[in-house]
Amino acid sequence: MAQTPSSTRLERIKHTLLLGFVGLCCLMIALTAALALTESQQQDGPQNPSYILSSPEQEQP
Amino acid sequence: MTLPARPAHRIKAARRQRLISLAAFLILVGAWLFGYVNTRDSIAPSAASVLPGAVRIEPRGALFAGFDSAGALVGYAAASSAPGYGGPVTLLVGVNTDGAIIGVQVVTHRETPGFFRVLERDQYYEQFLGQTPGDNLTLGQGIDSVSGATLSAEAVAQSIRDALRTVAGQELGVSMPPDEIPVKFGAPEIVLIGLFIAGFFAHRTRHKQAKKWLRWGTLLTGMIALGFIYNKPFTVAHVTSFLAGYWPDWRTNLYWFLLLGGILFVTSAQGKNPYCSWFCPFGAVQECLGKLSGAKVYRPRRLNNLLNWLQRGLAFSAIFLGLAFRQPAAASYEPFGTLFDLTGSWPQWVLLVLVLLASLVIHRPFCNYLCPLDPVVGYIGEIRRWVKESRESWLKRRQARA
Repeated sequence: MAQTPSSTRLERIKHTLLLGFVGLCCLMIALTAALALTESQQQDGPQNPSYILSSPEQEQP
Repeated sequence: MTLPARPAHRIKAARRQRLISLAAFLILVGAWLFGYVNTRDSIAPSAASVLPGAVRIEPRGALFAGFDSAGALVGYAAASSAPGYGGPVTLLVGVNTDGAIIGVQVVTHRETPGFFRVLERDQYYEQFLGQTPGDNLTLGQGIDSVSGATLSAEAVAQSIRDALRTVAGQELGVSMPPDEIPVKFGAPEIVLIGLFIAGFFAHRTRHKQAKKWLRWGTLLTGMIALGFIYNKPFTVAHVTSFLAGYWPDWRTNLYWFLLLGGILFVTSAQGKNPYCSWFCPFGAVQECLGKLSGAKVYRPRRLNNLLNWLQRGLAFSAIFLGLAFRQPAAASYEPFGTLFDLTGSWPQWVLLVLVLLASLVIHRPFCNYLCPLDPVVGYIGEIRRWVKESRESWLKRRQARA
């Protein structure tokens, strides 16, 4: 079936919208991974532990 | 059964694809080695942080003894690891001379940061302070679990038990019996096995209507049970943990083995993906939204190649980063937990909203353009095809020689 100019334009708009959606999602995915990996790297190892809990220091007699 | 003959251009494309797959595999091996070398010797515990009042630390074999300013013994610290959701969780535990826990430090972990923070928020660690070798430190018995982070909570409890056992046995002369870990087989495991069985029969049936109803049955069950109730969907973190060698204890995480093993087995034996279109909870949510508004499959021919490679690139990057940084859970970008447990970073929330809105117009947009699992399962299928083709050509050569 031959495509009319308007259908071609509509198709192009749809493609652009799809690529825009995928691009935006990819950006969010990159940010998700960057945030999670940065946080994990900052809170890793004995010098930068992710959590410390200790009971109050006992008083010396 | 012989494979159908393929035209020349297809054979050429398949050959190119195999070369790229091989290159991707070699790069992932490189990432694995890089991650292994860079994380191997990173644990050198700072014992003073879990021994309040200690100013001097002395190593004693695998343990550390802490002394106060007057030279009196404060207690001992021991490090221990247990497998969690994304890999080993390593803790340093301080124990006083009476055998009571006086400090806990998370040294390293590979869990999803948002979920691991739940333990802190729910004051999970506080339960362990003051506990002694005689107390019950089993999750769900002496220790309350944390909803939404059960695997991490179990790993922490197991690490603390092991560290306490080491101190008690070596320095306090108290023997703690070894953990009697029962095999955890409950409703999630039963539902999962049921879904695999239903999917198996649905694949085989020729009755279209029955297939359709079975598919909707498995999809809705997957969405409600594996998604909203148990929040245990299949993610790329499963694959990366498997490749990194971070395998959890099968007795406490039988579900992990059933899910990963089931998908690997069915894909390599049948060549069919038993998960994505059958009981993936996130796929089901998108499909339900699409049904409500009449969403259609949209994959323009012109963009097909680009979209294919983009999805493969995302999957490859997630596995590469997970292996290189030894952080399988952190590199897993799917917004499953954001939807089913309402936990996630802000980009995951934005991603979730974008995907759910798009689902009203396009059929399963996340599955079709972004999900890393489809290329992973496709890769397993491709390996299966290579093996089958190689076997056939070997048989042909053998026949010709005979």
